[in-house]
Amino acid sequence: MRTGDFIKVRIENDSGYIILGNTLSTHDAREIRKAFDELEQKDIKDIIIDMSNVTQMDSSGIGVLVIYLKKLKEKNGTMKLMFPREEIKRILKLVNLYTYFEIIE
Amino acid sequence: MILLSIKIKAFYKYIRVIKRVTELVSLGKGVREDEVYLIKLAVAEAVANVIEHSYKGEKPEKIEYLISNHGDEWEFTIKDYGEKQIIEKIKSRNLDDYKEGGLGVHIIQNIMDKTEYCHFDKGTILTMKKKIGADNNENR
Repeated sequence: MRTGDFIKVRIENDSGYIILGNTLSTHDAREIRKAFDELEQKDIKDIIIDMSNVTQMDSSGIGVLVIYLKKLKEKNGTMKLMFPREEIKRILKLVNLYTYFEIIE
Repeated sequence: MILLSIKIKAFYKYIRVIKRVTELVSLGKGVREDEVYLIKLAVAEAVANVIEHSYKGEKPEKIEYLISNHGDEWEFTIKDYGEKQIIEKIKSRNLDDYKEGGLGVHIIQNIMDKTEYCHFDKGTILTMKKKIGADNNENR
């Protein structure tokens, strides 16, 4: 599955994977929402966000993840951020989100 | 000392210009790359907030951006001529009641040492201050 030009979605062992491009920002927010909605329609409650390509992030991008993490938790689902780069980890720590999300390193 | 002064119109596409000039000026002054990365993030969030809240969306209105330093004390100033926000209400959002937006102020406040908003007759000036250690800064 593929949504947008940069964001890919796949399902593996009942988990949904959203593979982000190199940005997680205002401009990507709509595509990311689409990816989450696509997985929600397939009743996928455990989602892994592949952050390995992300080098730039802003508050709108982070905000989308916060909103969907809350939604997933309400349904007893999970969201994990996979392989964030050092600069991204630094931002997440700065905004006190590093412990808010489960991180796969 | 004023290091840079530019004006942009209140369109999101110009945020990349703000980030680029911030990068050029601060790298040119010997600021460490990881510091530059965070400073760019903070000023981009500040300009995005001006477009969203002061101008209520993209408009061909003016945003002025100034970078200056006094020794190792750097100032990043953003001046807009839009609707004045109630300064006391500009604060970072608690994640527990987060709905959408508001993380930008949280990011700015965590990256900068000090942020000050003040009104003038036609709009608002945001001054963000950050001390950049002498070992990071060539002080040219």
